[in-house]
Amino acid sequence: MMKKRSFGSFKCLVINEYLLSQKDISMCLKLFIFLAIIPIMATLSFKYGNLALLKDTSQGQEMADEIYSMCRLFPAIGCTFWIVMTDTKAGAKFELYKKFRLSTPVGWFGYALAKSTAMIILFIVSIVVYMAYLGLWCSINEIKFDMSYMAEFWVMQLMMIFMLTMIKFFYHLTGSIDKAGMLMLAVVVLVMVILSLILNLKNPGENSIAEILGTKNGIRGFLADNSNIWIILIIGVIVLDFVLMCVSYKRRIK
Amino acid sequence: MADDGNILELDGVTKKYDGFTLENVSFSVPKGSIMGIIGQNGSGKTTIINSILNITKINDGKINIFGKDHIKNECDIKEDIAVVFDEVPFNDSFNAKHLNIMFGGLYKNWNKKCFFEYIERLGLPVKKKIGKFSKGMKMKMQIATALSHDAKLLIMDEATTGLDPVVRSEILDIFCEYLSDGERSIFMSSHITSDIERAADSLTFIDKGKILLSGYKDDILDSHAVIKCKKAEFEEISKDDYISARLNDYGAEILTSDKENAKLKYSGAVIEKTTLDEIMLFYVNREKKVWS
Repeated sequence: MMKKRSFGSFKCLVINEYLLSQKDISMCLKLFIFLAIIPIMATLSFKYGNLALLKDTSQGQEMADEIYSMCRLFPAIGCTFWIVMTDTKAGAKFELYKKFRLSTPVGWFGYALAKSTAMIILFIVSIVVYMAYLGLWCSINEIKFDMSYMAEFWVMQLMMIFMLTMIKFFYHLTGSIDKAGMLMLAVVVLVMVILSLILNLKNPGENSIAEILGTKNGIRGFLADNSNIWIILIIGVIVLDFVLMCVSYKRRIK
Repeated sequence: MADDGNILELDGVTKKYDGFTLENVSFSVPKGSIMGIIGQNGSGKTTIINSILNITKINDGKINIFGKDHIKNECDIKEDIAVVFDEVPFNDSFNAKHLNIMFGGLYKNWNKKCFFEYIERLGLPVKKKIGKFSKGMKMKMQIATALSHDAKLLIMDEATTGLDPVVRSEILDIFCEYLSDGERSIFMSSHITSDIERAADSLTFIDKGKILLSGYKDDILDSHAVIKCKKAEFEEISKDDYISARLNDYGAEILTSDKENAKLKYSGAVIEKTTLDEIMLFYVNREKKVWS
C-alpha cells in the first residue's frame, strides 16, 4: 500500500520546479522590467516631455492611443512568468531527466501536481506584479485604476498558456519536442490568419495583429466587455494543461 | 522462484523492439551482494535496467523487487532503490544545496547529514554548479545522492564509464563499504570487465538480448580456461569442447567452459586461467567458432 507523502516533501517538489526554471524566470522578469520601462518613459514624455508638444494635435491623439495600448500590452507580454516552467531544456537532457523522474518513487500525479502548483503560484505573482505596474501607470496618468485595464494581461496569459498546452499536446502525439514546437507555431499562425480574416470582414482596413488586439472590436475589446469569460477560459486551459501533463508524465519510454 | 534471500528476481523477461529483442531473461540478485551484468554496447544491459525500474514496459515475464511485483508496488519499491546513470540527469545550474532540496522531496528517507558527509568525503564543492564539474565529480555527486536515502538496492547503469582508474577505485571502495551490513545489494551494468571482476560476487553475461552466462563470478572464472596450442594441435580439438577459437600466426587460443574436462582430454596442451574480458570476447564470436 502506498505510504502518503508529507507536506514537507511536496513543498520540496514545488521548490524544485522553481530551481529547474530559475534561469528562465529570471530572464522573464528582466524582460518584464524592460517592457515596462519603455511605455512608462513614453507616457512621461507624452505628459511632461517632448511628446507633450503633440498633445493637442490629431497626430498626438493617435500617438496617445498607441502609447496607451503599448503601455498595457508590452508589460503583459513580459508578465508571462509562469509559462516558462520547464523540466529541463529540450535536447539530450530532456530524455535523461525523464528516465530519472521515472526512477524515483514520486508518481506521475505527484510531479504533475507539483508543477501545476508552482505554475499557479507564479501566475498569481504575475497578476500581482502586473497590477502593481498598472497602479504605477494609472498614478502617472492621474486616472483611476479599472479592472478593464487588465484585458491585455488576460489575453496574453491565455495565448501563452494555450500555446504551451498545444506544445504538450503535440509532444504527446509525436514524442518529439522539436516537432511539437513546429506544429504549435503552425497552429498559431493559422489561428491568427483566420482571426485576421474574420475581423477584417467585420472591420475593413484593420488588419495588423496589434490592431486585432488593440481595437475596440478586436479580442481585447471582447474580453474587456466580457470579463468573466477569460476566467473560465484560463481555468479551462489550466485544467487541460494539467491533464496533458499527467498523460505525458505517465508515459513510459518505449 | 520467490526467495527471501533475493532482492531482485527476473523471470522470463522479454522486451521487443524493431530489430532487437530481449529474450527470456532470468536471473536473481541475492541480498548483500554485487551482481555485474556485462555485454557489448547494444546487448541489452540498459534495457534490462529500464525494465526493472518500469521505465519501459516489458512484453512478457515477471520482475520482483524485495519480494514484490515491480509494477503493482512501484512507488513503495522505488523508495528503497537508488539509481546511478551513465550521465548526470540533474540540471547543470544545480549545486549540492539544490540537490539536497530536490532529493528531500523525492525520498522519504532522505538523510541531509549523510549527503553532506559524502560530499565532504568525496571532496566535492557545495556551492559550485554541477555544470562546471568534471565527469568524475559529476559521477561522485550522483553517487552521493544515491547513497543518502538508505536504499536497499543500488542500480548502476554504466556509471564508471569514462572515469579514470583512481576515481573508479574510490567509487568501488565506497560500494563495498555500503554493502557491509549485508542487507543491501548492488546491480551494476558495465562493459569495463575489470570493475566487475574486482567488485562483483556474481555476474550475468548478455549478448544480443540473450543471457549466455549467469552465476557466481568465481565459479565462472574457475570453470572457464584458455587452451593454447599450435595450429596442427588445434585440428585435434573437438568443436564440442570449446566456445570459440582465435587463430593467429603462432597458433590457437581456445576458450573452453569446462576446464577440468579440458585438462583431462588435452593434457599436453597449455591451459591457462582466463579473464572476463577474454570470456566476453570469445563468447561474442561463438557463432563464427573460429576467428582471428
